[in-house]
Formats: sequence, C-alpha cells, structure tokens
Amino acid sequence: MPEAKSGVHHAAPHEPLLIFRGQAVARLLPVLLGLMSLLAVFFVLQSMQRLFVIQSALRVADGELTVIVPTAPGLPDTTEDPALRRALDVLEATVGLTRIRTLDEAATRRLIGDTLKAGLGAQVPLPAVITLGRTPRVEVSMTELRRVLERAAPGSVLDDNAALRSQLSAQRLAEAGSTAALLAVLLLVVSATTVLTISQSMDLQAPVIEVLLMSGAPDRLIIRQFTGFVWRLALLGAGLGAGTGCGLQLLLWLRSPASDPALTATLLPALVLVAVIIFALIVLLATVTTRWRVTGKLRQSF
Amino acid sequence: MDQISVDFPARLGVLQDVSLRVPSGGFRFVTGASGAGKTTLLRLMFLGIQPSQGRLEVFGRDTRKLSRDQKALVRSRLGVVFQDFRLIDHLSVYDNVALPLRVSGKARKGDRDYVHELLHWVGLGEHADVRPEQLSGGQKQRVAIARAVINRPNLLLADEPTGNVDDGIGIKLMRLLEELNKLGTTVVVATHSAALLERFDYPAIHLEGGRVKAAGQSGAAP
Ligand SMILES: Nc1ncnc2c1ncn2[C@@H]1O[C@H](COP(=O)(O)OP(=O)(O)OP(=O)(O)O)[C@@H](O)[C@H]1O
Ligand SMILES: [Mg+2]
Repeated sequence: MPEAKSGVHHAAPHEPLLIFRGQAVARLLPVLLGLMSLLAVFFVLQSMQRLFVIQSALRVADGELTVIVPTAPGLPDTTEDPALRRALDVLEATVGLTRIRTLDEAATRRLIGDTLKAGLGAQVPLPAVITLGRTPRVEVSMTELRRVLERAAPGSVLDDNAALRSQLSAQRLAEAGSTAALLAVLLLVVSATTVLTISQSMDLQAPVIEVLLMSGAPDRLIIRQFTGFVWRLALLGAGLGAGTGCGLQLLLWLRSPASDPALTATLLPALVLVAVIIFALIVLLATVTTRWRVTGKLRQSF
Repeated sequence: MDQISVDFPARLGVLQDVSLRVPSGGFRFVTGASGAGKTTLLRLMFLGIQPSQGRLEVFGRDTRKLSRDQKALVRSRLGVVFQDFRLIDHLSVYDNVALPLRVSGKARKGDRDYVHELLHWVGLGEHADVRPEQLSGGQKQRVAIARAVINRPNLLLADEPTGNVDDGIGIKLMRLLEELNKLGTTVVVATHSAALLERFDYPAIHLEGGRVKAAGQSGAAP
C-alpha cells in the first residue's frame, strides 16, 4: 500500500454524511418535536385568548357609568324634568366624562323596568337613566361626583360597575396566574423532553463517533456533522409543529362569529411571538444538547 | 510505549506497567485470555483512550504533546478493525468503506475507483451497494478491513479479525493482512486463536491480567 502523505490539512466535507445511527429515532425526532411545539403553541394561545377577553370586558366596565335620576310625578315627558336637567348640567361640566346620553323610555324599561316594576305607579314614575363613558386618561373622583350629583338631583344613584369590575379583576388575576403557570410548565416539559430525547439518541451515536474518530476526523467535523443533522431535524419538526399550532388557532378565531378587531390586533402578534419563542427554544435546545453530548463523548477519548 | 497503565473509572489496572515497541513495518500478535486487555491495548494505540500513567509514542511522537487536531492527523494514519466491526448499518458497503476518506479530509478525484478496487481486493466487488446487515460475518469482517485500509494507513490494528469466521476464511483474512504488511504497513493483530498463532510465525505480545508476560522476540518499544 502506498505511503499516506502526512500533513494533509483537514478540509472537512460540506455535504452531510448521514452517519446518524438509529434511523427510526431520526424519523421520530421531528415528529416528537413538532407535536410538542404544536401543543405548546396551541395551549398557550388558548389561555392567552381567555385572558384577553377578560381584559377587554374589564376595559368596557371600567369606562361605563350609569346615573339613575328619580323624576317628579305628573310630568308629560321625563326629559323635561328639572332634576334631570341639573344632573346633566353637572355631568357635562365635569372634565373626563364623554358620551353622555339619556336613554329613551323603552331602553330605560328594558334596563331597569323589571327590577322596579313593583314599586312603580302614579306617584313613583319611571326614573331617567343617563349613560356616559369615562375618558381613559382623566381620573374622575367618584365620591366627588356623587356629592355634586346628590346636590343637583337628590336621590340620584351613580353606578360605576364596581361589583362587576372587582369580579372581572379577580378573574383576570386567576387567568393570568394560570396562563403563567401553564407557560412555565409547558416550557419546562418541552425543554426537558427535548434535552432527554436528544441525549438518548446521541448516546446511540457513541460507536459511530469512535469510528469517525479513528478514521481521523477532527473534532469540529464530528460535532458539526451531528449538530447539523439534529439542527435540520429540529427546524423541520418544530417549524411544522409551531406552524400547525398557529394555523389551528387562527382557524378557531376566524370561525368564531364575534371576532373583535382589537382581539386580532393584539393576539395576532402574540400568536407569532409565542410560536417563534417555542420554535426557537426547541431548535436551540436540540442543537446545544447535541453539541454538549458529542463533546462529552469526544472528551472521553484521548 | 513505556510503562503504560490504563484505569477505567469502573475498574482499575486494566493494563499495568505495559512497555513494548512495535517496529515500523513489523507484524505482531497480541495474545491473551478473554479479558486480559487486548482490546484495551489496541484502543490505547489508536488514541481511543488515555493512559492514566506512562508514555505513549505513535510514529515517534509523544502523544502527550499533540493537540487534538494533531491526534486526528495521527489517527488518520491508522487503520482499525474493531472486534465488533462497527459498520454503520444504514450506509451501503461502499459508503462504509469510503467514510474515512470523507472525514479525514483526504478525499481525492480517483476515490470511487479506488474504493471499488479495494472492495474487489477483499472479494466484495459485487456487494458495494448492499447494506452490512445483508452480509455474513466473514463478509462484514472484510468490509471492516477494507475500511481500515482505505486511508493507506501506516499502522493497522486488527482486533480478533478472525474471531467470527471459520479457520479457512480466517486464514484468507490473515493472508490479506500479510499482503498489506509486505507493502510496508505495520500490522498488530489481537487474537486468542491458537491455530492462527501456530500457522503464522510472528512475534506475540502476550497479556495476562493486564501485564505483558512475553513480548515476542523484538521486545523493543513504537
Ligand atoms: N470501559 C471500561 N470500563 C471498565 N472496565 C473495562 C472497560 N473496558 C474494558 N474493561 C475491562 O478491562 C478488562 C480487559 O478488557 P479487554 O476488552 O481489553 O479484554 P480483551 O483481552 O480484549 O478480551 P476479549 O478477548 O474477550 O476481547 C476486562 O476485564 C474488562 O472488563
Ligand atoms: Mg477484545
């Protein structure tokens, strides 16, 4: 056999060598990573959507006020009532209130008629209802408003949805907590599963690594062959999985009749963000784990 | 190698105070009972494991002074036939044999013809596209030998190359190794086959419980 030339420099081949042992594992890996990213993306988004719905209900409740003004008996038209006029004047003079509107009789009956039915009569006519909104940035003191309203229209009631708001706040807190917990658990499970499966499949590679080593392959070539292979598998698997998760969620949104434009505006970026984070996490962990395991195997050699 | 000892975390003293030298161009047997340390000695020689003590020279270079890349270069001048072949199941015979050429950066133009030529030489010219699992033990053995010599090694280490075949084929395989030796390759063969030792008259390094009991006629160090 002719003498091998020494001092040949290591020009590593660029094409993948397909040396990964355990082709069944190699086929299973992207499926597994894909499934994980699909489930993770889907569940996180579901949870985030519930949070968002509560948040927007809270915003509405926060901005809506109702004032109920008792009217004097015997007037042909309640809108002519002086107490109502005074109450409206006070409200209009207050900075930070908008959309001030007096409900017509039908709407009033719909809103409070049932509750008051028994007490209504010739001496106690239907009260007037004013709905109004709060401008988001200006802080209006409710106690102060109640005081001036009481002076302008005695017996009037200002409802600022306090009960509903505190209920929604509690719901929001609970939902935010469960979203965070779900996210943490999912990321943990996804990370642990990725690291474990990749570690396991890399342990299978020990004999191949020894063959490569004794064939004169430099460390970086061995590391690159394996990380490159796993990187491609992870890209494929996690990419498809995250994509499918997003698609599924989008489909659900499109099919739900009450698609709030604000919902799409906020949740669409969140959808992309969550998918990208989970995708990147899986690909990164898979590659880093491969590198770590192969390096560990190489260190055991001389 | 000089006063080499090898310890594994799980087992100490697998090799103890081994000193030997294989001259360039020589042919040596490594003998000893099962578990005596033959495989460990060969792994040491291809820099597969670290000695816990002592000095190891390969091709006249002290291995402690080599960087990892330089060790890779040293390994690319070695050929190894593993006791369990270590063929890669999902690659064809051709790809298995060509693997060292690709990973050691020695790939050249005429490689295709060379690989086929080598497969013919070991009598597997017709099996280039077959997967190793479809081969018999002796055929796998020959694929392993072809892979070990594809890089034209200066030193060939063969671990029980006749262990899985009957005597007739074993002798054929040995003739193959002799042929390589005549072309200038240093050959070290681990075996416990008495028939082989009787038939081929080469010096033997005899291991017993991790120590060298008789180091053939040369007794010098690689
Ligand atoms: N990685 C290891 N960790 C712990 N002990 C080991 C390791 N490798 C080998 N040994 C031990 O070292 C001793 C020598 O093993 P080795 O494989 O060198 O024997 P051998 O002479 O090749 O045997 P055989 O003829 O059966 O192939 C054995 O007792 C074995 O149990
Ligand atoms: Mg052995």
